Amino acid sequence: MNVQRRTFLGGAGALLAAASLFQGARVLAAERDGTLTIAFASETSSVDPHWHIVTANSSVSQHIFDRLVHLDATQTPVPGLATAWKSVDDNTWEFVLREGVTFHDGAPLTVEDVIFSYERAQNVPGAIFNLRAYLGDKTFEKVDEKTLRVRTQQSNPLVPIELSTTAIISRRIGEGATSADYNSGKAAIGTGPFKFVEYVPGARIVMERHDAYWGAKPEWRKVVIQPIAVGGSRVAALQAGDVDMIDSVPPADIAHLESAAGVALERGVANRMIFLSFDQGRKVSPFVRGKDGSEIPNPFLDLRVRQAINLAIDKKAIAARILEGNGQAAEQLVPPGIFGHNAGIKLVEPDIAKAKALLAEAGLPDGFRVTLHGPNDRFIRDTAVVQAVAQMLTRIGIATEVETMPGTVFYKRASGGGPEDGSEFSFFLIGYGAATGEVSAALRNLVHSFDKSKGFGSNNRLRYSNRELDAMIEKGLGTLDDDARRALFEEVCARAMNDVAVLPLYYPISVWGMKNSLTYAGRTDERTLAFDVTMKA
Amino acid sequence: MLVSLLRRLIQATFVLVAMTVIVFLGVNVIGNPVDILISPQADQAERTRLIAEFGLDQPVWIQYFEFVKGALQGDLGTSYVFNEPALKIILQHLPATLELAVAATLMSVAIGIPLGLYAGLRPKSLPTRIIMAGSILGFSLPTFWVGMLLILCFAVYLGWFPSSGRGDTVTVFGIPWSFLTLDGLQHMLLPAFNLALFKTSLILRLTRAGVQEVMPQDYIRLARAKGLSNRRIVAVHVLKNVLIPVVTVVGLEFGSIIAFSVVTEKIFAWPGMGKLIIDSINVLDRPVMVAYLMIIVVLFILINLVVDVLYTILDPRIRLNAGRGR
Repeated sequence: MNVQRRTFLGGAGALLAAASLFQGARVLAAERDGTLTIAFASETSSVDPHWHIVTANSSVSQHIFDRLVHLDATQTPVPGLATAWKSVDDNTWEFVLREGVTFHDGAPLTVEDVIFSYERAQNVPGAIFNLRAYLGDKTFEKVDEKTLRVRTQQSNPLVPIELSTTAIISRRIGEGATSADYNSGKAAIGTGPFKFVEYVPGARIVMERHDAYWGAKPEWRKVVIQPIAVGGSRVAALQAGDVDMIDSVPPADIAHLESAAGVALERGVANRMIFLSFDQGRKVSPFVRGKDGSEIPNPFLDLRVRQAINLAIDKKAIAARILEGNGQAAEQLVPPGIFGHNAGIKLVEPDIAKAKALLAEAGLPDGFRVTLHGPNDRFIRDTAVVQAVAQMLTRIGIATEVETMPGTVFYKRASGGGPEDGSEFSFFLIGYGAATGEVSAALRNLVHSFDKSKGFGSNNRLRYSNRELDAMIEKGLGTLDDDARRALFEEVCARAMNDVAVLPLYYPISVWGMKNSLTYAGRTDERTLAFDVTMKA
Repeated sequence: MLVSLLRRLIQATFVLVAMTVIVFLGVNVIGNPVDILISPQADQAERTRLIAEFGLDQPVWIQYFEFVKGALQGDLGTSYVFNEPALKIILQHLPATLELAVAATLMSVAIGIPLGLYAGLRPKSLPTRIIMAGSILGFSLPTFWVGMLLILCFAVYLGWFPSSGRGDTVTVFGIPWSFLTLDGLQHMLLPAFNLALFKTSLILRLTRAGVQEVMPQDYIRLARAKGLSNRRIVAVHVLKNVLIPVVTVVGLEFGSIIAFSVVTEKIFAWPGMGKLIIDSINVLDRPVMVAYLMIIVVLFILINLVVDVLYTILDPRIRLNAGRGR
């Protein structure tokens, strides 16, 4: 039996030896002109900048490719590859190209490259979202070597913002290039502050500084972006020093990271709104019942009922207690700083007595029964938020049941399949965020009546409709003068909120964690951009 | 042997066809990928275009027919999310999962069999009691919890190992492997151990039970009477007879590590297939889901074949074409 003992001890010894061999596996801390390693919660699905406009992809493509117009931290347009732009007449804009910009391969940027980029962006085969929503109404032509003319079908004040969505690629390289060519790096040649080095799906993206960049020189020579999906693992990677920065710090870890040595947190309110939506398109709603279980007319059609619900919900408590600071109570469609935010709209203070009185006035003194639906894997603690809302509504007599489901199932059922060709649900929690910043997208897609032919109200799943607001929104979407448009949109926002078209609950707050030698000013578009990360002085 | 292999191949084809039908119907029931993937900015026209481009406006049986047509030409569809062939994406993620599975399996065999032998040969000793108690922990602790604990302990506090990712890789035959670099091995150790923990306990207990069953048998007594050394008795006569159930379990478990190492891969951000399939399910990336399940079926069929061949080597009485061989 000696053999067994020897085998056993030998094995244990080998393990110990291996452990000592592996000691001291540490990554060096980020330093100026060194490597910055960032962990993203979501995986970047492609390096092709025109393939899919989601945060993880846009964040990466913004490093390699510039846009004609860039968006600052609150999504206001600032010069990118264009130094200036102006509207020549109602349907024409002119953009002046920046001089001396070169691609990573040394070729100069031309107007032809820009026009080609806009064509390709609309025609990527099989694209989930081919940017036609932003580019489809425009035609592009070259005026001279450095001037691009953009014509629109109708007057469109959003041209600069809409062009900020589309990365500019090189025509010579991009012609006939597939998404695979971008992933392999063959075609991933832009004008951005970083050059493509390597993309390993699911593992990492490596980029190197482009020293001939026209803008401010980033502090990092090399940037590595790796996906770490599990929140706890992301935090551990930061604390272990394997990465320098992480996005989406999980709510549960915020408190202990705040007191942890060597780690700093930065926050930014996201330009997204999580809200409740009521059935306003049907006389009888599928999940609404009287207290005795009988069928009753849809109570959400009555403004007083919507107001009562608005008064019953304590948004501040939800933001503070359930989201643990990862959300800011929302009083309107977009957070402060975004074009169209109306500073005059105030958060409604909860008032149970008044809510009950309003219900009684609406002829429902005993309330009614309703089921509140929501996704259970899409927003921070979405199930808990839905439950809290249900309890708050039950307090004023609206007996609210809760049903949550995976987003994959939820979105399908929320969007159709119910009575009268509408949603299956009567009342649900959902979110909305616009890549373009401005409130106009929310007004157009969420508040405007559903109109398939004109493409309005595409996210208006429960068919809110107010013809006056529709007219104002359509007018605003054609008003080139910024101040006039802002005034109009602020007015629409105020009236939509008075009408409780939807009930905004909170704006998510994105939290970034990083080594405390670094700083990053958050962004409303939730992107993580390495060139905006700096060493503390 | 050849005949039975052929017969198995035919069986496997039937299994594969049945799987495509089940999988295809299954993924068509659980929601519409367009609803998940499409941007909130997209209008109705855009939705209609996308649905048509994905072919989702066709009845299911036509979609299935199209899929089979493509599959016969080696094309399992193009991922909705990655815009590259689904098969290519899965094969890109396969080496990472394979090497992790191999590492975990080797680890569990290397630890489990010796410990099991020891425990079987000396059932009453103190180390045996410790080993058996430890194996209960290995069985019952949930993987995600052990994984987090390993990270916390060895990466955050001790700093011995990196917390996540795959580390440096070396490309051999066009495939990146991380077990060939020191950095890669360091990255692999914690996730492999996490995966191996359960298997080790399983193998350990199987081996111990086997040893206890074999030891009192006549042929062991005969071997002893013949004056064979203890080493030879244990290494040849005991081990060989104990190994049959162990090989079965190792084979099955190897398959299940490849297919279902999801939790460990997610926690350690290991860029393998498990993580890929969960992400794909979340966004209903149908081509990837279908292609993944196809590959897993093929893998299981292959593993079972290897296990059967191993049986015949371990026990000459077993024939692959049972019923005629005897």
